[in-house]
Amino acid sequence: MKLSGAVGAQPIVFAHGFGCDQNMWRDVAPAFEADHRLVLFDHVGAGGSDLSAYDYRRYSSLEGYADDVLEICRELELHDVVFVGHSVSAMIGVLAAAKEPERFAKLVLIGPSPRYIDDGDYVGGFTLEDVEELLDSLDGNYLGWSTAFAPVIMGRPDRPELGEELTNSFCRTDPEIAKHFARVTFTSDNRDDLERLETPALVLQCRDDVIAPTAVGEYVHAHLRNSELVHLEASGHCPNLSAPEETVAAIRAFL
Amino acid sequence: MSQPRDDLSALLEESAEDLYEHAPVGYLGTLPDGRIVKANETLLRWTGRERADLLDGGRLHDLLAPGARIYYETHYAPLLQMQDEVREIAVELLRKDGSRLPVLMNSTLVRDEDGRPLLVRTTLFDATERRRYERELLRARADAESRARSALALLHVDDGVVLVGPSGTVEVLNPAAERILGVAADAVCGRPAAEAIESWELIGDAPRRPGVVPVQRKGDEQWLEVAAVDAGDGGVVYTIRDVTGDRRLEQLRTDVVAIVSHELRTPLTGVYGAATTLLARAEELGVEGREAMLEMLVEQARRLTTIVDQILLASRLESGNLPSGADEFELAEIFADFGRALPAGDAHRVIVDAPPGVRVRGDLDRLRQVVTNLVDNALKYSAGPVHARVEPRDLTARLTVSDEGPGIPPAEHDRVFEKFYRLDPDQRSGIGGTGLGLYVARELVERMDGRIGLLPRERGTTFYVDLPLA
Repeated sequence: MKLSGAVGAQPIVFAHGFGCDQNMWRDVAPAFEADHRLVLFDHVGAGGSDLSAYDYRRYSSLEGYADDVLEICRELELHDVVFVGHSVSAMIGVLAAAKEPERFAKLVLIGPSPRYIDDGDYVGGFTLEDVEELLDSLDGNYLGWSTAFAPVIMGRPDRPELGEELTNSFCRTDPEIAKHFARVTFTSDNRDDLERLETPALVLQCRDDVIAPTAVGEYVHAHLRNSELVHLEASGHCPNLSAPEETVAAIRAFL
Repeated sequence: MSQPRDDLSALLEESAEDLYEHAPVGYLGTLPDGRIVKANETLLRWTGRERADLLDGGRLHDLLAPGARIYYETHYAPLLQMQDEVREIAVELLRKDGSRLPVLMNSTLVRDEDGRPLLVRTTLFDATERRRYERELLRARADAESRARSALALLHVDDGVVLVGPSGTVEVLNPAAERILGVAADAVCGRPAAEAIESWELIGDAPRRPGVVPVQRKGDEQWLEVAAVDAGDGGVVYTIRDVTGDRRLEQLRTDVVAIVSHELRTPLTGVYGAATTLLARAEELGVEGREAMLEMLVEQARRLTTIVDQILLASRLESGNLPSGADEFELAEIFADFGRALPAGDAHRVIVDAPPGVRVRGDLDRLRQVVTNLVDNALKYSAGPVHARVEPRDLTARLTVSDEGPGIPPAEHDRVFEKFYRLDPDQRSGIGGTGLGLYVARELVERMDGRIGLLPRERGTTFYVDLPLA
């Protein structure tokens, strides 16, 4: 967990999604340093977290991760929190804020999806078979991970910060944990939880996001009681990396 | 001279283009948002696509199988953004006909002068063979892990498990089996079970007759519950449980019932006889006769009390529920008022030689119980005098009780302290007893950090008790 920014100012908690760690925020978080207290962390099982703390039972649903977020808030005595969640962490934030609404001021949901798998009229974008395939590709890449990633990262003398940042981070996570997190993420269904949320929320929707298609972002917006939907020019699933300026501007406007 | 060089360079020019199109590698140029701007022939051929399909608004995602698409968005794309280069990631391409092509994907991100992403260059290597091989590796790993888990279960299970191969040799023997059978797995594995494991002829009979078998283990009797199942390849898996403790408990229960019924009956008969006689013939007995009857009543009641106390004491010793004091006292104190604890008619036969001044540490009441048991025994087995002596030694005080009875064979010297042990199990001699007196005595003495035993003698018996001097 990393703390930075203005002491005593309104806190922003940044939560990364599946497949990444807190480094995802490196081009976004600094923009808020001057006027906010920043809290960056890795979910247990990801990035630099203590892998031995990973409890398969606790993390068998997104609730476990939401409880972690609340624990961080309690530990740091955070109030009036702005929670910025990317991908699966958007829903983790919804669960946390629904559980302890008094702690949260605003939620920023980047590429949220309450359910990834199609269900009747609901289009999540994936089938169960797709998710099984993903688990396979995690297996398939496990063999290559340490050998393929580490030298690439280390062989970048012009950007030395990457070496440390990435060798310790998501490419090195335990493949069994990654698979478990993937299964929990992509088989979760939190559609009913959307209506429980009272905290004002901003939904950031990218173009051509195959993980959280536009229809899903619109569904989230329609089912939240108090939300704003902003369509970004950025395409893909990670505007925080591919279009940090636009992402920062949208969050600023909402705050 | 210049002509051929031009030809060569033209050839090279041409073949650079040719190489791009037909190299055994898929080439793909995409914009940062994934739109395809360039693709080579090889890739088109591999994926069964027309160039126009891909270049007219086609996206990299469209070429990826759904699982790979998620992986690309959650891992590959962020990584490429962060380090400008990704190599050798295993993904599956989707052919136009829906079939899959496993490839290894590599990308380089090209940035403009301001560092903005401009273009992504991607190469794709056919990894069909490699993927097949990796799948085998993964399967082998899963297999090995599952085997390791099974082995772990075998390691920690409480029952002994022995796998005997079709030829009768021991193949697997778990730690519980090592413990129960008193063998080391290293020493027996690979050897015929019948030769390597004591009493195997009884255990190995389990496929035909499963159940509890008594075996000899280093001279001791051991009861094993054995079951056997077919291992499927002609071998047999035996599960072995040591039920000696259960068996002993069962035996104990039987013994208690036998002893209680026998030992309590004799004095009860005496009590009953004396009481009925008193009731029916009080007048004709006269004063002396009535007194004799009453003495008999008292004596038999004392005997009953002793037996019941002994049983209670033994059961409390067994359960560990017996508080014991540690005081200093004179050994001679034991013999103060000693006669009252002995059978009325025999007390005169006991000769005590206990000089004052020998002080020990222990529990006076418990020690008196020990000496009473020893003297009681001595009186029972001999008709002559019984000597109780106290003598100080270097660090201990020794107390001995000797009789001139038939003696105990040296081979039985240890066993007399076992619970319910009797020299005369069939009670032919007419000498009764619960078989608890010496057991209780030993337990009590050991709780006082003392020792109890038998001294070798030509005839008669001498028990000794050594206690730490105060």
